[in-house]
Amino acid sequence: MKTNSTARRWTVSQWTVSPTLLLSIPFTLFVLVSPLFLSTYYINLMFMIGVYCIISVGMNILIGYSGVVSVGHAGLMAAGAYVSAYFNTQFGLPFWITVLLGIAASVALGSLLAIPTLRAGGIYLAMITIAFGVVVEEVLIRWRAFSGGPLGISGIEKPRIGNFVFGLNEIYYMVVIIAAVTLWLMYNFRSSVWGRNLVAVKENKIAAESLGVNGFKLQYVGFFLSAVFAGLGGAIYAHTNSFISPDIFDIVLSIQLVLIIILGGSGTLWGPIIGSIIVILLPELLNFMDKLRLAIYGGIMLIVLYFFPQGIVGTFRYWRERKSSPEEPERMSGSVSVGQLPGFKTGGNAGEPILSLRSLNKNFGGLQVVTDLSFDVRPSTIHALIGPNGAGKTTIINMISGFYRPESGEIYVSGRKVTDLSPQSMCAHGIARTFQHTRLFDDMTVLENVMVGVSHYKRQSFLSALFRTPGSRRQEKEIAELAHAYLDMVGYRGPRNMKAANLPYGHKRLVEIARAIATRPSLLLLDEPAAGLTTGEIDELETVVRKLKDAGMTIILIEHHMDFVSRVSDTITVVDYGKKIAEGTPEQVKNDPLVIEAYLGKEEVVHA
Amino acid sequence: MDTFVQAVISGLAVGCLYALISLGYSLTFVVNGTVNMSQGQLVMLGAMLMFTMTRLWNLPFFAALLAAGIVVGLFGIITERLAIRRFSDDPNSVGWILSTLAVGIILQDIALVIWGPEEHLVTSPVGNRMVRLAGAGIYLRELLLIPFVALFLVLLTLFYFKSHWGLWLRATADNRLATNMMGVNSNFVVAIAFALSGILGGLGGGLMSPIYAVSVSMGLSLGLKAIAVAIVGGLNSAKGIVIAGLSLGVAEVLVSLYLSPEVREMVIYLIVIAILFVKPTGLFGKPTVTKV
Repeated sequence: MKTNSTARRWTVSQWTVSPTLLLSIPFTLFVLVSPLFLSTYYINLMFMIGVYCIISVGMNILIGYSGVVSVGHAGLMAAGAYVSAYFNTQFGLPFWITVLLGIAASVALGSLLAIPTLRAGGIYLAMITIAFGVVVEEVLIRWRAFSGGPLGISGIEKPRIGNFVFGLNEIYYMVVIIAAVTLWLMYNFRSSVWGRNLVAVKENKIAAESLGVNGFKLQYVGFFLSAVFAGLGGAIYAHTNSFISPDIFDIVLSIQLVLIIILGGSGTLWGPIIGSIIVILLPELLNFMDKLRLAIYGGIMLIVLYFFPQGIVGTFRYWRERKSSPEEPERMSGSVSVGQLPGFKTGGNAGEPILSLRSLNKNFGGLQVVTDLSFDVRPSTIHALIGPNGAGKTTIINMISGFYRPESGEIYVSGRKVTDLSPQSMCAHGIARTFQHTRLFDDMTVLENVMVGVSHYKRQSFLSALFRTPGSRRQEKEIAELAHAYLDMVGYRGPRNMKAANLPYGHKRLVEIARAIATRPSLLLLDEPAAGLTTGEIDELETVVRKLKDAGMTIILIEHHMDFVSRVSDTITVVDYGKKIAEGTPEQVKNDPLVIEAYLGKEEVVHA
Repeated sequence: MDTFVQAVISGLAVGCLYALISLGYSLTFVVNGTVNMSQGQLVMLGAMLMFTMTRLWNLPFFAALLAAGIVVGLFGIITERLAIRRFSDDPNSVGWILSTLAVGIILQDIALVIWGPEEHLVTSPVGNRMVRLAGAGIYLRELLLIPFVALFLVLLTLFYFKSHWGLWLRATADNRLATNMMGVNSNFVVAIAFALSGILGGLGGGLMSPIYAVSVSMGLSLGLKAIAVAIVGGLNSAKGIVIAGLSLGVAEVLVSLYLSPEVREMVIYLIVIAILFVKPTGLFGKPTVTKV
């Protein structure tokens, strides 16, 4: 099976993988030998494409992976360029040292920008980054002692080794190598725990947090990397151009950087390259329309957003994927079977409740949704939470999983007080959940979805992920294997390399459960898992739920299918208007007059 | 003392403008969660139209002001149709930010071809007369800006709370789906919001044209200043925006008076970033609750 699929990859007739390969070989050759026959003018252009490519890699991580748009990265580029130029011209430090100072400046400034704006998010972020870019330009014009004012800094030294000063060709090759390395780092990042979890945050922040992913931290990491590459690109530009001035780093540059990613295809490997090539070459081709350069950029941006929102590479990939179904991912020969899965934490001592709610109250703007609610959940049982629509069941789940904070009352997990903790910390306390309306990471494959869950207890160091050390690669394989095993455990038999968005409904439900149990919880909260499933699918769900219970997991189940609930539940708590009205075994609850009243109404009322 | 009074009054005048432009962001933000990032360029357009109509076509000032408001309002509708509607289903997507930015730079480039890079000044209907106030000499045209903006705000408030259009706006802001089901076309309501926001921009540009030298390149920095105001005040709080606009206007003038005009922008944006650190949704803005 394994040898078969690798062999297929090399045959030209099977063109699922080969077009990229077929294009990249001549492309690489051209890039490498072009200084031999191209004129200085073209080498200069290609060098600029390389510099843009380095910065775009960071922009791609930011826009494509984090979903964060910054229209102020020219400001970070300027920080790198100016700091590097300043230390070179004032103190005579060589390029190799000043470039590091430039990157440090860009990162410091970028952090100052990122920390408040990432928290505010969305529209605030875009607005502030624009303002940031403009302020940096303004500061550079005014702060003469540092920046030389509107005239800028000139006489910046070219990179050199000993007495050998780099000429155009050496600089060109240097940029090509650096660009290749940054692309490689980007690729590594995306195929590691870090990149995958970052994309998960972009796709669905709430779901990612429920799996213990720290959204802010990851987005900051994305911003950090983009600041590193912007500073690096800026410094290289300063030292090869020998001259910088504030107007180089204006808002047009920031917009160009965003355009490169949107046009090339955000989140793709080739997007930054293709975008850079087009955005650099375009003004050269449209020389006669120089006056309308901005308008042309704007027009292209609108056209791309309207007709190819996934950019050139993304659209190309979309067409290709439509023609062929995705290959199934390979599994190692000694893959993890369900029996070998690390056990679930059962938590607490036998007899002691795994979860206790004590007098919880929650209201939304005056509407009391949960009132003085208390109940205990015994370990390794299935505890159903039922009640009419609007009774407050989902709100209870949201409080247990840390998404809502109760106004008063306490929540204990295995005897430890966890009230007011964030969803991430709740996950660390062994609580996992699914959502009433499935929240999968739509743009990620089924397997990747579950891998995000696994990463909750399989940590990976940032640097080893970035440089793709053998250790991190081994770890990636382990995570994938575990993800497969969890999918097996819930009895998922559908495609695993397919985008989650394209799955049928029943499969989505199962994948979400697999993803939740992949965090190895002791307590699993299922919010209407059977809603919308066929009878056959409900039977399968029942098998899964029982299997999880046998593995030692405790399950809280919100569900409206009463026959299913009474078959699987050990205990049922009934809530109505936010209050507990009954609790007991399915038999006891079914005959409780209050429950019957809540569901069917009082007899006296019926005649009205 | 008299320089202080003078500074405060011209600060309030600038602040009024900022508030007016910034309310344009707020109007659309509350209705469908998007803003027109080309608002600054719309203000520029209002000012440039004003110049053409009063200086070249010799239209009376107030007729030209009205016309500028209406024309820019139409541009607001066009922007909504072209750059917002397709992307507004998911306000968290970045599509509409980029598309309205694109519209903005297109507008600016075309305006540059039409009006050139020079600065223009429009004659004020009250000329260069000065009035004395607490010992300070103040240009009447600057002072008059304040009651005019106040008048527009009153009209806007009446529109928002007394007309059925305003009712639709508020209903759409509250629950777009339900508004649609009540037979009100929410696309139309969103278009009204963008028209209003454009009108505010156009009037803002028209009102500033006799006081400050206006040029094609001013759109971006004005738009940004209004953004700063919206961030400090809170995008979803009209009251906050008016307060923040006035305060920032005064702060700006005082900084250039007592510190140095050179550091003005820097100080203002540092304040903005500091506020954002403490209150990410602005001083008066309500945090939006994410439903799980």
